[in-house]
Formats: sequence, structure tokens, C-alpha cells
Amino acid sequence: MLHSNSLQPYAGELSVEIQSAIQEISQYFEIPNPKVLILDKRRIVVPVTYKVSLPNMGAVDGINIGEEEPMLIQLSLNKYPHTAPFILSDRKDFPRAWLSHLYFTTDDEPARLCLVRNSPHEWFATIKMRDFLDVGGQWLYKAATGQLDEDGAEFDPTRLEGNISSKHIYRYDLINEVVSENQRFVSDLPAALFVGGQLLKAGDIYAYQTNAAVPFIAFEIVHNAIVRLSKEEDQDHGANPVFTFVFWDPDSAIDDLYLTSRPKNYGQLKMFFSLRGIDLHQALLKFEGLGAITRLGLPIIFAIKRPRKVIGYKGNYEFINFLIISPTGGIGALDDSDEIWLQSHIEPFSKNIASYLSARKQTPATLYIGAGSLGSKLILHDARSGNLEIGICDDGKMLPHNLTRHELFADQLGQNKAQALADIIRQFYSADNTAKIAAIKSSAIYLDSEFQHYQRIVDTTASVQVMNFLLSKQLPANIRYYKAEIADEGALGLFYAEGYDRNPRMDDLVNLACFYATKNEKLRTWRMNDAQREVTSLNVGLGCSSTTSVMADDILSFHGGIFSRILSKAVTQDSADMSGIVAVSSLDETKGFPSISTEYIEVSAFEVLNCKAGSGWEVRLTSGIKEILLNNCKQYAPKETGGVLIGIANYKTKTIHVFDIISEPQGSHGTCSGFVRGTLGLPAEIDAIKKVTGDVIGYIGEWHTHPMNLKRLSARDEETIAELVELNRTVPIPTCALIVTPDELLVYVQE
Amino acid sequence: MANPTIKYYPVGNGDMSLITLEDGTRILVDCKLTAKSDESTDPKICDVKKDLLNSLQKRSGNYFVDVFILTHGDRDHCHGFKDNFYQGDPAKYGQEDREENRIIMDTMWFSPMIAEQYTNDDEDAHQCEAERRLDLHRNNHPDKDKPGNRIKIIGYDSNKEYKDLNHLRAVPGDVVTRFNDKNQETFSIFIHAPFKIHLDSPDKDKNSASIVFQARFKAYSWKSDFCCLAMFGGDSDHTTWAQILERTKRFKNDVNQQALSWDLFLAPHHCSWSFFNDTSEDDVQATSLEALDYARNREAKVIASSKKIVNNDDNPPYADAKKEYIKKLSSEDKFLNTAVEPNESAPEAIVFDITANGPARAPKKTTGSAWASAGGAGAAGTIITQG
Repeated sequence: MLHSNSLQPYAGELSVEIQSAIQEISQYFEIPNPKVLILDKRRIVVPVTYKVSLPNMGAVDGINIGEEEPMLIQLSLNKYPHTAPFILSDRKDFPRAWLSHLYFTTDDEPARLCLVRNSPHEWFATIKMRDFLDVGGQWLYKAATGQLDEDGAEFDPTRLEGNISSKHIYRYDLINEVVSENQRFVSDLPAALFVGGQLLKAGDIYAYQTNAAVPFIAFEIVHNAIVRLSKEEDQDHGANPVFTFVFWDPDSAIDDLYLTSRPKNYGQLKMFFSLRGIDLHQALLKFEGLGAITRLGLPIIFAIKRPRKVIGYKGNYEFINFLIISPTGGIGALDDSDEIWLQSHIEPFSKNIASYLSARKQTPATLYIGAGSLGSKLILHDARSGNLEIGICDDGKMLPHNLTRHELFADQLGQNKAQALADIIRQFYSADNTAKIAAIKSSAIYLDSEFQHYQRIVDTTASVQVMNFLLSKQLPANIRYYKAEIADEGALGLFYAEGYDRNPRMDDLVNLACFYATKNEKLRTWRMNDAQREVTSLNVGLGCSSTTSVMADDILSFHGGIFSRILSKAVTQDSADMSGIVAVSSLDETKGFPSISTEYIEVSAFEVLNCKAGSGWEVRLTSGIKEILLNNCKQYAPKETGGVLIGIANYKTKTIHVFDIISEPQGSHGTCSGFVRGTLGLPAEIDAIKKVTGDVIGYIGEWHTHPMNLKRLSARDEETIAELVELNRTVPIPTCALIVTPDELLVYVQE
Repeated sequence: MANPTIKYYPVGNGDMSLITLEDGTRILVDCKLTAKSDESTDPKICDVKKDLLNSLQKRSGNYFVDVFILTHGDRDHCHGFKDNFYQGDPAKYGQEDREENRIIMDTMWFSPMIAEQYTNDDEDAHQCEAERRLDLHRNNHPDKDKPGNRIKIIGYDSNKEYKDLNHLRAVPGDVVTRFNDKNQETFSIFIHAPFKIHLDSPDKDKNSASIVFQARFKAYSWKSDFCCLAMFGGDSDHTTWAQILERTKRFKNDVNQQALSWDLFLAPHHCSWSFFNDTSEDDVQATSLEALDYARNREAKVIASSKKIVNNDDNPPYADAKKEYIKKLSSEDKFLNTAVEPNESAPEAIVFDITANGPARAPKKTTGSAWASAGGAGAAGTIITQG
């Protein structure tokens, strides 16, 4: 009853590694002269005996495992130690039908223990032979004590590894529902019909896919459609339509035994079905008569009802997937000796799988503006993590030089980038509804009603035009505007997120990043480099903004990865008091190998003041400045005090952003009726700010207090403004005067 | 769910056993934690503290056992109690306790006998903690039923009276199914001793007044038979066992409760002769042999929690006692000595999986890495003399 009784001794040469392995085996089992037997041309086995510690009353559930189990340690003659040894039972009567964690073998092969999930070879590469043999002992102990299934509440499915010829892609739930509810195609046969396809790549079938159940009532329509498609032979469909045949036990009998006999040919498969109450040949002839056999490849699934939920799935059915290749003469010409293949089941890629594998809980509907190299990365990161509500707006086409950094490939050259990316995402999710994957092939400035479909706008255009358009647009209340760009030749990534109710606004944040050059070394380097940079290199596909430039794809991917993570985390921010974000990712290669870091600046809402003179200008003060000014007014009262405003003006949006103030420069003098703002050292201070911010941030206006609560410009103020207007026009900047009363800020702006 | 287990620690002449139930409930029977045992690098000394901590659960970052049973107050059964177990109001468990890995005992099992005689600091600490808890219950304190304040009285009173706390008491003949405020359906404990007669006797002796109990496991709650019966005898002697037999049979608990049957038998008093007879006597008491005849089958095992048993006149462990046990077992290998399992050079706890078909010894479960291994402190902590 032992396999080893019929195996011949091996007399050939053994590698040093195998000799060493045999020595370790002999020491472990205390066998002075181990036998080495030929299993087949490529493998040898060493018979050993495991001592199994049994419970006092014998093996649990009466499983036929003894205190001494004869086993075979299998070694590959050519590949050991790069392929793992296997532990086989030497017993021909090993109770394989009752045990999980066995590889699926044929009757005449020794039962092979499955010791580890995933690759046994990878595992063996990390452990010693002694530990490997220990695990074999643990397996037998667990088998004898009913502990092979770690979760006894679920059924461990059959291990088909090593027996698979091709793949069959379908949703488990799709087949499970039909089988569980006994939805038969015709009443006298426990079977259902599904439609799908042979997936083709370069003319070859690489997998079968099953997409939908076909009830008898819909069969004719589906059949006619398939026939029509099949006639269009000259067209590349990417798949040949086929029907899949699913069978189940007519009595819904529960089967808790593992398959011990893998049907190798049609005769054995018929026997397999016959034992389960089904005449397979007659069933296939019946389907053939109906015209349901349209291809030579016939995917056939048998559903075995298990006593418990199958591990990894949502139901009690385990599906065994077969493939028959019928002869051209049809089912009637099938011979019992014709070979049968096993297929492995694979769940199609779906939103659920993508979200699970990406650990992504929320996928808000997102409109991506810009599908360039950076945009394409963010879009696909989002799509791959299960977001199926994605709009992509870009009017550009894929050009050869885009291949440097873009996520699209050469087959998409010439296509609109938004469309090509949307098509790819739809192909990812063939089993899901992708109606909300939208391509908008126009410029962003034509966007209007589209905004209402989304919760996020992600702008990767690095375009001031687009930013100004979005600033001017009345966006729906629930939408959040994000902007991402790469600066300083890839050394810096800048990511901005607007705050609640669009405050701070995007322009506040973009300009604030420049102002922060006064505090942050990385930003300072960027701003100073930007000011000195001569545009000598060709800016390919990244727009003409100074914030984009030539760089390698890997650098772009680094920043893209960071931006994508920020996007996924920003979703969790509490919206009620959501602050804005300026995030800075840095990749510094100035000292050789790259050094990376990220910094986040939370930005509170700005104080927004409108020009009291009705000029249409708006002044936006960074958080905290208002309080400082009001305090100054109170502190110096009854005398006036004042100083200058530090910030930037935008004529396009008619906005002045104030990020800082300078109080009472040297030479200033305040009285109860007026304030003289001095200049000593002030130009140098302003110049220093301008220098480190790349000439972006500087002097932008005057402020002074009216402690006596005069809520308008004084006559003297108006005269001064008139003088300043002339001076400022030469810069040019608008003239901004900010009056601070005990309880209010008043601004006056004049171009 | 994982199988229940019983773990017998190698603590020399002493007892320390951990019962882990299917639902994770942990019952520690006695302790012998020598100072700094968790820092030992000598492979000959099993690091029982480290193993114990690895075997316990944490609640809010703090180690705890559901039930701590002290069979009696001798040092070899409670060594290290004072330093390793938390005593006091559980609400005051602090950072220092956490750093010292002090174990919270959700429930204590307390024999009034322990209260009577002082022999060591650990026993005294156990007594103080028990009295703290008893006071809470006596005064009906609102926190009395919180984990860390629970207590169960085992056996009868002696000089001090706890009659007002009888609702907390279990006496010989009782079957306990509730552990740490939770009912168990597949596990119970049958209390055999201590008897009233011992506690009232003037020449009372701690060993003969040990808590003796039978741990009973079922594979399923609806089953009438047990898949494992494990006897824990503390340091009980032959006179106690004679009475256990007499009482159990008198009340028919040998039949109705299978209260004398066993699959695992922890040899009382570290395999000393006192289980078989007085040390001055060479013959063997028939009642002791009869107790061993209740082994349920040929796979039944005796565990001697003691030093290595050698052929000399030491007692305990006593070589002739070992011989008597082996006579009652189906083979010599059914007698297990904690000091030499799996080998004398590096003893490890003896662990039994309680399967549906009885106890089985689990093989080693850890697998080392060959790919990135680094030496432990073993070799570095050993003095190597070279020529």
C-alpha cells in the first residue's frame, strides 16, 4: 500500500546540494542509510517516517492518520534548492478526500501536502531544511487533531495549483446566485448558460471570461447577436463570444469531500459528472442542438455545494472549472480519450476589488482638468483605487514626445488624451458600470454645468488661465478645488487645496507659497532659482508656466504619488471648518543621491475686504493680520500708528493678497491727528523680501490707524493716495490704503 | 476558534500551569517566577515569565489573567507573586506597573487556609490582596465586581469567618462553570479539596489542605462526555486522596460526574512520595493506587512538575514515586517530567492541545528564518573557555 514499494532506487549522480539535503533529512529522521528513489525523470524521493502526536482517543473525526506516517520527501534533481522540496504521503490510502491543504493530484500520484500559502519556492528560500521538515510534522499533527482549517467556520477550497492550463474570469457572485437559486436553463437539466468570451491578445486566447447569465427566454436574441458578431471576422473584437455551461448536483447534495481524482480526459470527465447525477454527453448534445456551442473551446463549470461558506467567497459553492476542446465534428465526435483541461477562477477587476486592494474607503466624484503627464498619473492612481466617477477635461492629443512622462502608450498616439484615459479606465472595469467615466475634449474654460456632477476639481494644467477661470466661476457649494504643479525643475512639488466655502481661495494659496519663501528654505531656493532661470530648455507638454519644466518621468511620478496620497487623505478632512492646504514635496539631488521630504501648511480662512471706494478691488488678508492691526490701533490710541502692507496684486482678478505687515518703520511718527510713515531701512527690508520670493511678493500698500474712529479717508489721506497713485503706476501696482479703526478695517484701492 | 490548551511550565520543584480556554479565557494555577527570570540568557532555564507574558492577553495595554488559582501558600507555588502580580485597586494600575509588566488578576481563587499561617512574603501579599477584595465585597463596594476586584472562596472557613460571603464560595463536590464573570459551556472545574477537616485540625498542614480540582473540557456543549479531564493536585498527600476517593464515591460523583477520571494527572507535590504514603513508610496506600486506576485510557499521562528525577534519595522528586506512577501507565513515555521536556539542556513548557478526541502534544510551532538570521543572546551570554 506504499508508493515507495514500486519506486526504483536512484543510482545516478547527485548534486552537492541534494547530497547535503539528504544528509539533513537522514539526521532529522534519524535514518542512518536513507533510500533515494526515482519518482520520475526529474524528481527523487526519500522515504521517511513522521511520528505524529495523536490525541488520547485517537485522531479527531476518525481521520486515518497514524502515530507513524510514512512520507516521501521529494527533491528536484535539477532545480533543488531553487525549487522547494515537497512532502508527499507514501500511503496509497492516505485520506486525501477528507483533508484540505493538499494539492489537487490524480489518483495514481502520492498526496502532496500544501504547507504554505503562495509560492512554496519563495518560502523555502527563507527557511532551513529542518524547519521545512518541522512544518511537515505540524501539518500531520493538525490533520490528526482537526486543525488544518484554521477557521473551522469556513470551508477551505480545493488547491488546484500546478494543474492549471488557463484562466477563467468571472464574478463568483454571478454564478453563485444562479446555482443557489437553481435557475435552470431548461427544467430537466441542473445547468445554466452564461455568455462571455475568449479573450484574445495578438490573436491568441489568453483567458475565458463569463459575463452574464442567459435565461432560455433571452437565448435567441443573444445567440443571434453572437452569430452576427462571428460573421464580422475581419474586425478585431478583442474577444470571441462563447457560452459557458454551469452544472450542479440535481439534488443539491452537500459534498464535504475533497476531489482526489482530477479528470484527465473526456471519459473521466463524463464519469465525474455521472457520479454527480449528470449525463454530460447528452447535456452537451442538447446544447449543441440549440446552437449554444459556437466555438471549439467549451468552458464548463461544476458547482460543488460545500457544508460551509467557502473561504474567500460569499457562498457555499465551490466551482471547478473545466475546458473541453471539441473536435470540428462537434460533440458527437468527442472521444473518451480527448484531453480535458482545468481552468483557474479569477475574479474580474472591479471597483470593490480595487478599493479593497488600495485600502480606499471614499472615492468622491472628481473632475480632472488637464490630462497631461502629471494629470494622467493622478487620474490613473484614482481610477486604479476604485473611483468610477471621474471626469477628464483636456483638449490635447497624445504626441510622440508625451511618451517621456505620460501614462498613455504608443498605441494611443494621436488620440485625445482625455478620451484615451477614459477608454483605458472603462477597460479596467469591464464588470462594472462605467457610465460616469467621462471625457471632456474641450478646453477647461468651456466647463460649466459639468461642475455639478463632481465633488472635487483637480487642476494639473499649471495654467494661470485655467486658475483665473476657476476663480471667477461660481462653483457648486460642495465642490473643492485642488491644484497640483511641479516646480524648480522637479525639485519641488506644490499642491494646494482650497478651504471651506472657497476660503482660502486658490490664488491666496498659490501666492502664499511664494510668500513662504521668506520662512522656508526649499521654497526660497525655488523662488530665487525661478527668478534667475533662463528658459533655455524646451518645455515639452508641460505648459509654459515657470512652475513646470523639463524633468524625468520618475521625478514626476514621485511628486504624482505624493499628490495622489494627499488627495486621498484630504477627503477625510472635516468639511465644516476645513482649512486650506499648501503641501510641498521636495526631491533634493544637489548632494548626490535623492533626499525627499514633504511639508504641509494648514492655511486658515483669509479676511476679505472690499474697496470702500467702489473700485471693484478686493483685499484678502492672511489670517491673524486683522487682529494685529486692531490691537495696534488700540495700543497706540489716541495717537495714530501705521506701516506698510506686504503682498501681491493681481490685475486680472482685481485682488490684493496681504501676507504680512511692517509696523512703524524707523523715522515714523504718530500723533493724535496724523501718522508719518518713515523709510529708514524699509527699502532694504522690502528688497530682501522681493529677492527671496523671486520678485513676486513685496510692498503692496499702506496702513494706518484712525483711533478716533473716523471711518473714511481723511483729506490728508486722499492727498497722499493721489501722490502714491502716480508713483505706483510706474511699477505698476494699484495703490492700496488700509484704514484701521478701533473695530473695523477699511480699504481703498485705486489703479 | 483555537483549541483549548494546558501548559505546564518547567519551574523545577514547583507548579505553574496555564489553562487557556477556547474563548481566550486564561486560568493560571500557581506561579513560580524567580527573580529576573525574564532576563535570563541561560538556555537551561526556561524563561517562564517571558513565555507567560507571551501567552497572556492585554487589556488597555496591561497584561491580565482571568483567574488566578493559588492551590496553597507554599513558596514553590507562589514564588514571585508579590513582584509580578498587581495588588490593589485596579483603577490605580499605573505606568510603573505597566513597565514592570505586572499582571492583573481579574479574579482570585482563595482558600481560607492560606489566611491562617504566614510562611513567606509572596503568600502574605496574596493574603493581603484577597482580604482587600473580600472587604470590598463585604462592604458591598460599587466596584466589587469589576475585573481586578473579583474573588472566589474555595473550601471552608477556618479561624476567620466569611459566612456573609457564602455567595462567593465553592466547596468540595461543587462544579464551577463561571469564570471571571462569564459562563463556560465546554469547560468546568470539579472541586475536590480542601476539606473542612483539614482546616479545623490543630496540626494543620498546608500541603494536605491544597486546593485539588479536576479541569473538565467538552468538545461541544451538548455532549455529555468529556474530551479531556485533567487533575491538579497541588501538594496534596495520600490522606487527602483517600478522602477524595471516599467522598467522591459516597456522593456517586465518580459515576455521575466522572470526577475521579483523568487523562492528565499532575503528580502531587512534585512527584513526592507523600502521594503514595508517609515518607517513613515504604509500602503504598491502596487508595493512592486506586486514584491512578481512574486513568481513562492507555494514552493517559502523568506530569511531574519537578527537578529532573534521578535515582537517589531526594524527595521530592522521589525516584520510587516515579516508578509507582509508571506502573500505572501504559508505557514509560507517558510519564513526563517538566525538567527534561523536550530535553534537559533546554526545557520548554509541556503544552497539550485539547482536541475533540482528547489532549495531544503540539509540535514546535515556530519556524526560524534562514535568510536573515541573527544570533540571540544565547551564545553571547555563555562563558566559553578556549585553549
